[in-house]
Amino acid sequence: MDLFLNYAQGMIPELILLSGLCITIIGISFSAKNEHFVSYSASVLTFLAVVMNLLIGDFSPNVNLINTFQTSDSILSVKFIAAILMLALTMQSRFSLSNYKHKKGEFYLFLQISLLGIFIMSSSANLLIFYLGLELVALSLYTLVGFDRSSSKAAEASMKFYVLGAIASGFLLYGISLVYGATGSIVFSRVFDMTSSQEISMLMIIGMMFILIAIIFKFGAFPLFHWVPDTYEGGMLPVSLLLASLSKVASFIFFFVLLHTVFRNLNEYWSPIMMTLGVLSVTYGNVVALKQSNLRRLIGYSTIGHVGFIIVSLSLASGNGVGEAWLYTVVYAIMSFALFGILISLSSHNYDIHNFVDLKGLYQSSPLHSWLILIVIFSMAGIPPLLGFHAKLLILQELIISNYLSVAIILVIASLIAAYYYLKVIWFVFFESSNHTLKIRQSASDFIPILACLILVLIGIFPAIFIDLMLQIL
Amino acid sequence: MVTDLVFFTSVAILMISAMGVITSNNPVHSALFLVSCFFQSSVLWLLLEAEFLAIALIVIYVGAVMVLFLYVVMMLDIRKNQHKQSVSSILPIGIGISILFIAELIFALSGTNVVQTRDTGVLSNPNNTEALGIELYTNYLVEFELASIILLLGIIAAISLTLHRRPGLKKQEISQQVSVSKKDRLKVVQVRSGEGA
Repeated sequence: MDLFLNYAQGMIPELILLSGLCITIIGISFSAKNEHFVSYSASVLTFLAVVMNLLIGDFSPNVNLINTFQTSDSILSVKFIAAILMLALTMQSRFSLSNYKHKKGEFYLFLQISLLGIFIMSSSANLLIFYLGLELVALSLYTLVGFDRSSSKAAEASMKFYVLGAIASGFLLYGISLVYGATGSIVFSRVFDMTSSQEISMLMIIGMMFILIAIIFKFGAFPLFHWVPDTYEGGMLPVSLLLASLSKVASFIFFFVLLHTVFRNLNEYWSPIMMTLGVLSVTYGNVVALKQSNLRRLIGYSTIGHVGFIIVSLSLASGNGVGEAWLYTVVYAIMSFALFGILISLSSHNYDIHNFVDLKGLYQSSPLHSWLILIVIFSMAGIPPLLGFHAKLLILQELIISNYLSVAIILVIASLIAAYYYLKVIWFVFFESSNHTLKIRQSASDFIPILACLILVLIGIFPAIFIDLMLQIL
Repeated sequence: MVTDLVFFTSVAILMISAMGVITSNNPVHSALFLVSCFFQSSVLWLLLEAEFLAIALIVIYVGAVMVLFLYVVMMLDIRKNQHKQSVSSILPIGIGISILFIAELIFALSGTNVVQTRDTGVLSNPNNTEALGIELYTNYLVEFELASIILLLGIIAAISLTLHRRPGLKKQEISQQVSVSKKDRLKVVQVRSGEGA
């Protein structure tokens, strides 16, 4: 009995999430007519309960349950930010789903399960738990991408994502089994001891290389990015938002937990590889984005570029770039909340945007949305007073301090290339006119984009407190 | 000596069948090759004295999963030799990458003792069904429960992706049929003589 109580005390947020999940399932199955409302409100209440628990919950921060589960202050902060992002995502996706014709109550279940997966990943203490958490996130993402049954593009994207993701999971499991073979343990602390105490076996390094492949896939970085544009284009808008924000948080945790805590002593092996791949994804993502005419594929390719920044900062062998990478991940999540939030809001007014030409005349239709797009795009391009600029600047500073001047120069050039297609978006919104005279009024769906843009502007002008807060977390 | 012989024989058959799974054009052949793979891996497990896992692999995968799989393959209308062209065009690249990868592994592993692994001592109990059960419900309890959540997710995902209630579909609602009362269906009309239809 003590064992179970111990587990329960360390896993309160997860247990709240799990009971919320069960209540939502029962609620959906007993409400045929208004399943959307029931599922939505149950999910929002669950996420609120988790956020409140993480904010004011009274549990000892440093729990370590016999090599399975651990929490610390920084893990709790990561969970808190993930829960808030998921709450905002749920509230925004309601506006997109209310136009969706088919059965839609399950959508929120997958959001809950993916948040559960992120929680488990971030506080896992052995490789098996970690893998199970990762698989919870991945499986719910595969389903969400294919959720829109009226679209054949969604089915194609989901299938591609699923098959490629299964191969990546296979690589990860093979790597874990090699590490287990070399060390005789899957527990993080034991594996870490093995890397520090004696001569490192080649088997373990090969196992780690297989794990690197899985990390690269989950991030969608340079050689293994092919699922990114397809899923961004095929999935529904809230799913693209999930892929751009919380999935990146999960990938960040993947990189951080495995390479910066378990394999920290092997950084001479993984650091140069990841640094190279990070630089390649920044350049490749931004260069290929130049030729896109579909706005959502463009955002997909630009994500590859942003992910490159995160990876470059994470792969500094000294570990000094971790805080900056976390800041960049959170800032990128806020920017995608603003951008996809605007797209969701527009599509709930039957103004669907697929290609650049659909942006024509947006300024006549809705000045508010146009100005919001201006703020987000400038922030993504890294134009000074906005928050995106500070995130980029901190990473470049860290690179220059760590004697990676050439990498910093490449990143700056790639950002300049990115500025071209970002400005092209602005051009289409403000300076191209079209003959349709649709007027879009403000509605409740604009709340989260406006909030995100306010954060980008206000914290961009007074960045000190926010940046210190984020850098302290990790 | 005998163990080595059994090991290398079953590994060789395993490799050949695994190649057969991905190269054969007929999906039924692929499925049967996969059955052979499962049998050979269960032999490997028997060599490691994990009898329970070996039997479970055959009973679950060969007995249940592969039979279902064969049924699905039978019901799908898959044309043979349709994808031969596309495979042969990318085959050289695949072979090149494989050779590169294998060469890299050989280069990395040459001179080191690869088989230097550590004994974990988990299955010291001679009755490994019992040992497995004890481990699963004590040290690996959280993993076990998480696996059950993954199964739940699988069920929900499969249902939500395939269950499709078309609007306007005519189907029997038994509860509504039973709860029909006389006044909903029956109308008593006074018919005068000579005016009835």
